[in-house]
Amino acid sequence: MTAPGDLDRLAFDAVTVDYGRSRVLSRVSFACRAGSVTGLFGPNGAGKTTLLRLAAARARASRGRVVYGGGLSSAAVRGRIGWLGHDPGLYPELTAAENLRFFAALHGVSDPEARVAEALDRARLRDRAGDQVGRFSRGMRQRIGLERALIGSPRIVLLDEPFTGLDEASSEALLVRLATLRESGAIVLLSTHDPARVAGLLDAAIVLHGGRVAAQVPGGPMVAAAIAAAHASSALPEAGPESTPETAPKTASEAAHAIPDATTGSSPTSRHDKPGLAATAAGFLRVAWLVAHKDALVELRSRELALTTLFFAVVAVLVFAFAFVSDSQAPIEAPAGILWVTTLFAGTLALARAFDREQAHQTLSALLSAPVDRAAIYAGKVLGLIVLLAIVLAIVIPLVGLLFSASFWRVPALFLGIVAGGVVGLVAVGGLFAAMLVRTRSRDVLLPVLLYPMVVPVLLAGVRGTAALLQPEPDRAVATVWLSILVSYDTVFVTLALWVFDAVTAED
Amino acid sequence: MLQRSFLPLLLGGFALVTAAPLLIAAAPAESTMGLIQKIFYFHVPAWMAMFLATVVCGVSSIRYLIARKPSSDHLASAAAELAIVFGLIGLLTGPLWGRKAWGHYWQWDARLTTALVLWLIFVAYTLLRRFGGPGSERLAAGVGLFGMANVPFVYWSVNIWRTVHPKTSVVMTLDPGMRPAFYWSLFGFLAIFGALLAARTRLEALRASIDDAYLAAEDL
Repeated sequence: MTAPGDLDRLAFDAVTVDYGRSRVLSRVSFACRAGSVTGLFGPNGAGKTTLLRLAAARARASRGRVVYGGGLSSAAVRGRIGWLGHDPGLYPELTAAENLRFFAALHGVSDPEARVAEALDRARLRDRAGDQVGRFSRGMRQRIGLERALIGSPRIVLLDEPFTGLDEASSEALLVRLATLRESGAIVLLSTHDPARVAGLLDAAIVLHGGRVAAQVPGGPMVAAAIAAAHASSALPEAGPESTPETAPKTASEAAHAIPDATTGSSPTSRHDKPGLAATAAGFLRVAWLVAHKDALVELRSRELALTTLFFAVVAVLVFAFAFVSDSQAPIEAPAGILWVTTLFAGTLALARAFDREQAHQTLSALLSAPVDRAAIYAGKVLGLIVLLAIVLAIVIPLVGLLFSASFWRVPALFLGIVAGGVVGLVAVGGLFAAMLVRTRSRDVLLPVLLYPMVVPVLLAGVRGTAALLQPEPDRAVATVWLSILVSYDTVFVTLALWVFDAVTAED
Repeated sequence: MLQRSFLPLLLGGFALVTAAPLLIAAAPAESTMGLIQKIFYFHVPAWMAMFLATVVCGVSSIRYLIARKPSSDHLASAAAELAIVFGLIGLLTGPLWGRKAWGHYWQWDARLTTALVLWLIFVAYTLLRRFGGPGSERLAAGVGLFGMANVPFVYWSVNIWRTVHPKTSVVMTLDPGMRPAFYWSLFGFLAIFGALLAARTRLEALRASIDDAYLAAEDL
């Protein structure tokens, strides 16, 4: 039995996905019921991953629709989906326990410590809980990645090549785990190139070819042979909406009945105490803090961003000093310009790398899939980057002062305000653009192309405000005007960025 | 509606702009700048068309982000390109005027700088559309929205900061003899803007339909 509004079904109703002029999926229809395991098969490029991304509400159908049981929208269902892609979606600098604890907190799991311990036991990595994931083998990371995907007790479990990198024992353990999930009433949809391994587990198999459903095969002992036959046959009856009614249901509801229903199962008891963490202001702040704290921990372990950004900033200042300082004299306004241009260049480097790093390990997708307000994730990333740039500037400002004989701190409150306002503006806009460009082609060049025109007001206000304070007699009035401009800019653009972050970073 | 109004707007716009020199020549010369002030009749309408283009782009971008209707994206894309075109007219005519009026082609004062920045934002918008790959429409919509948010800063910059550029009140306090030529030019520019917007939006819709035709061919 499933409760009203519960996720008892996942159906694809004549789903088509186009990327530009390429058709990736063409009118795919089938359905999965609660308490079933469905396998996706097909050669590379058949559309398996795209189909899983659709099911995970991480891609949008060009035509047709994905239907979730209980009438839930794709946004509402996001937190009840567990996704494991080609990459396990873990932070290599964090330990196994820290990774699981972080995602458990984002999913609002009650008693996260017990849940993490349980997950580590399931992954058979309790004794390695305190080791950084980066030191794990591929198979160990995959096991922890699976537990990461299941930490929020999802109703829909989507696994893309979950057996990749697993040894025989781990593969057997995964099969047992999947069987348990089926018994608990979850909907499991997985892709694999190894039908023989999962044949005994499957309730149904879907064979994709060229973005179309080439065959739907019922589960059972003959499934592997049936899939092999489907692969081999070039004269396959085209299942899906275009084929015969016996093999290809036309609508999602028909499709739902066409899939054998091995076990109806009861709904798993949800371990969520809260639908998401960011529903309230306190929840928003808590998520932002979790993300910023995680970033700080990652950076403390790797020091990658801090050291590279600082080195770049110092080299830039030295080059500027070589170009502008002659006989220990520099133009009076040069230090202000050099300080802010260095901040802009170093900030761009840090912004790009911060989001590239998330993308490289597929952790950004895992973050954005969490059932929290995405604006809170943005706020957390921005907070972490502000702290990073503050550390860099703590060294760069005295260095510029020393090399250019500039006294920045004669009006400390105003100078600090201008620096803070400038950094917040740069990181607020830059953080948004870096996040939205992370999956984009040519992102390396597009980030400065988009960011620099947008932050010229920050640069101007920073330079003019700082230059006013460097005059023989600091011009407080002018500096105050530029500070107020920075505050206005920050207010407008931080508000806009919080508002649009969800829309521009959504994968769907 | 935009498509149906293309021809009347185009013909009206050309008629207005063709006849504009007659009115501009007849308008009284400005007392200190003399003949060079006549650039005003092209410069200000071009910027007004540019501002309108940025607002159309920004509002369409919001609609696209909310409703994901391709037509909103087509409109935003067309408006962004026109923002570049009309902004370029403003950026070229302004320095010509400034050279005679101020003795310099360019000064880094608040209005000139913010206007240049606004224009650069829309150049960046088109670069993102061209090189961003599939899915860049949504990202460009974010940039279009941010670009529109800059318009008030540009418009009121002359009133907030000390600048060599005339203030926004210059149009409202225009010499009565100059008004017919100015408004004639303004409506001419706006009509051409409307016609180009209609044509470019249509072109974008046709391009999308060609993509659809390619995809439909895959189903055959």
